[in-house]
This record gives sequence, structure tokens and C-alpha cells, in this order.
Amino acid sequence: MTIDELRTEIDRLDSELLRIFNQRAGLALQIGEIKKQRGMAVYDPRREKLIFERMKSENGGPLDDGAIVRLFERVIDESRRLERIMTNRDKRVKE
Amino acid sequence: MLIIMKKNADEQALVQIKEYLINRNFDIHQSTGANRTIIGVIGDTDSLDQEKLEKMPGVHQVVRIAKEE
Repeated sequence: MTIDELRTEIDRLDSELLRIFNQRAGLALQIGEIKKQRGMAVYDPRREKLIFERMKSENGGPLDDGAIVRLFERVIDESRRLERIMTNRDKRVKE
Repeated sequence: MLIIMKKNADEQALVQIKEYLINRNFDIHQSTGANRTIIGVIGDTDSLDQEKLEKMPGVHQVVRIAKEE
């Protein structure tokens, strides 16, 4: 493949990742809403650990496990951030 | 603010500090390296007690980012 063809394929994958990231964030928000209704903590270390362990066990490379964990740390940090923003917005609307 | 964990900090120490920050509505950027973990704290960190954070288990160093002029 040429560089242009490879970059076209990367662009296609980036668009797919974008869609998947947002789809994942939407699901995380739904969980956030349920947690709020049930008075559950936003931070669930046990769940995060399970995600990292599962991703490492399914990792076929070429990214190493450390890279996979760092990527998912960012995804989870951003999901939590979104959850906090939405929760605070809901609080303001009620006030 | 950056919270640099000790090389030998155990998982429970990391959980404790993340819980402390998240419960206070701070966003965090965790970065796990081969030897140590660094937590970037996002938000108005003026309200955070640096000394208290430094005394928490597993914390090596807490670095405040200087405000720009």
C-alpha cells in the first residue's frame, strides 16, 4: 500500500473510533444516571480494574499492555468527566 | 496540579487518592508508567490541601502548576 492509501485507512479507522468513543460515552452516561438514582459512587475502582484486565487479556498487539492500559485510562477519565459535567448540569437545572 | 506516586505505591494507595479527588469533583488524567503513576488533577486546585495530599499513602510529590501572568 502507498502512504496515501495507508493514511486513508487510518482516517477511516479514526472516524470509526470517534463513533465508538461517543457510543461508549453515551452508555457510560446512562450508567451515571442509574448510579445517581441509586446513590452509588461515580468512582468504581473494581470495575476499572476489570476493564484493564480484560483489555490486556484480549490484546493482540502491536500495542503493548502498558499502552492499552494508558489508552483506556484516558477513555475512562473522560467518561467520568462527562458524567460529572452532566450531573452538575442536571443539578443546576433543578436549582 | 500533578500528583506523582511513589515507585512502590500499592494499588490501594492509588485507589484512595483517586477516590479523594473524584469525590471532590475533580477531573483526573491518570498516566501509568513502567515505574510510577502520575495523576494530573484538573480543576480549581486552589481548594486542595497540598500538605494533606503529600501525607497520603503512596504519594511521592505534589506539584502545583504556577499560574500564568
